[in-house]
Amino acid sequence: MINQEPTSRMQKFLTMFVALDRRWIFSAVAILTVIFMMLDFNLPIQPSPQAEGMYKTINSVQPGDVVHFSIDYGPSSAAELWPQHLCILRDLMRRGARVVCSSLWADGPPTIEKGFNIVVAELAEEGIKRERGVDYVNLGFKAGDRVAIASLGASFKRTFPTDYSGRPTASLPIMQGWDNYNDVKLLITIGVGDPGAVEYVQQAQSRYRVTMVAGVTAVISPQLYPYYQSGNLQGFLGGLAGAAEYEKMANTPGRATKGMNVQSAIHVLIVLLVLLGNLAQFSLRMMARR
Amino acid sequence: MKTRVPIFITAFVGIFMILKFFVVTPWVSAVADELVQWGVITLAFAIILGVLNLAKINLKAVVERKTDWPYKAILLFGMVFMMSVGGFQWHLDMRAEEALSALTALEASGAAPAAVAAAVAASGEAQARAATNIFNFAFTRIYTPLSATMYSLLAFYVASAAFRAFRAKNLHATLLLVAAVLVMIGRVPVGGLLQVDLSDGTIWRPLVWIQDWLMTWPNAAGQRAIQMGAAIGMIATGLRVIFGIERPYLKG
Repeated sequence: MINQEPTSRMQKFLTMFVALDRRWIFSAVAILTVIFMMLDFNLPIQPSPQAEGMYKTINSVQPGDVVHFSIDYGPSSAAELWPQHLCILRDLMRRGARVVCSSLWADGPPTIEKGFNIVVAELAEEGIKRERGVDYVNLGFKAGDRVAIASLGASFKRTFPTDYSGRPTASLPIMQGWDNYNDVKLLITIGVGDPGAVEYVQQAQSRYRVTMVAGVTAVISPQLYPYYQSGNLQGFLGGLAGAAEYEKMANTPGRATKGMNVQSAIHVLIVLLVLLGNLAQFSLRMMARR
Repeated sequence: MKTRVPIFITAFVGIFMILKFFVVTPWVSAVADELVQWGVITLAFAIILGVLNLAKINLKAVVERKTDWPYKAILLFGMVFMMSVGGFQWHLDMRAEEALSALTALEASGAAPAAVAAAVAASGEAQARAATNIFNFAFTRIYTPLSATMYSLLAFYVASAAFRAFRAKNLHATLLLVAAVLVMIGRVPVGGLLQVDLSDGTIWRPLVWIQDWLMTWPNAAGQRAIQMGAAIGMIATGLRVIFGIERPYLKG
């Protein structure tokens, strides 16, 4: 009797834990997120070789170089990709590159506008003037996925006859002296899926040998390792962690660096839950055998 | 005729797209580039078809009061609202652009100061109207929070699903569990806190190193196998479509 009672109680508890109501898990995630968002500390960030490759490539851009910056995501994945977008755009525009933005996603162009507005205002405060149509342009959205990318290889001006504001691209100063990937110094895509980085590698990088880097969500990043190893990609950023690594190298800690506290806490929570869940199940199995 | 013409068009387009990769002759590239432009235009029309199809199906469901019809009504309202707002914003932008062009032309022609002053006022008014940017307001204040909310819910579901799914039931599941735990911890900064000082003065972070090794070698090998398999499948399917053995475009 003495031995049975605690075992039974333990069994009851373990059974309850194994089948834990998901609302407890949701609550734990929510509480930890709020707490770690409020705490003011930064965990040490170690840039990965992929992020280092991305940073070095972007920082090899010279003033006046044409950079095609494809923003292939919308607000849904902005939590992961917006910090990447912003710190890369900041670096490019500060270096004086000619930044040509376009999107293969219908909700991309307003995100491009938002990025330009923020970075141009920031640079203006530093006394650096960047002009629309001269230093940067938003070409807007183009339907067609892979076909649209292939079309850019033939001619940017034909693929995008007007920019997002409706001005003819052929008349814009930024579009003079080049028209396809043979003249583009660097191709960057910040993408959430298909069409995105993989499609740009297949249709633009491998065909025109243009130097390319990419920023993707954490879910997509495993797909890019083969392209990084083969040299198609000079580097890439994976999710918010990738953005934090870039911020660390650029010495501009921002939203991504702050977000690493929350992400670390939630990852630890998930790992603990998984390990405890397995331990509980294993213990139950042992008790049943006895 | 109904069968032969589409097959001929498909074969013609497909062969030129392949030739562009392997032949450097300028006229082949010119034809292929032109076909790509046609492709882009055709695909743009597909969006119109998509909108019409969406409107037809959902409008029918609303009229017939089918299951979940209120949601379909909201969908239709949202679509019409964003299209109207976008169209109105485009109109305002065009008026502002025209007013600015008219002002520039007047200044260049050396027109009377009164006419220039009136053009300045008109341009300023048009610019101010365009700057209100109601499309941007709808995008930033309605669409963005709704999209972000939907995506952020994933964090909660992933946590719950990981707790239930990662169970060491057999060898394969255990391997998956161990790899997942190591990558989850090694990928975030907290994994880098575990450090070992090596004799040569360098710092080794075992969890980060294991995560990087798993992603760089086993993951890349698996990804490469999947991608090469898919590529070979795509080549086979492409050739079957080009030669008219498979005709998916004739169905429906």
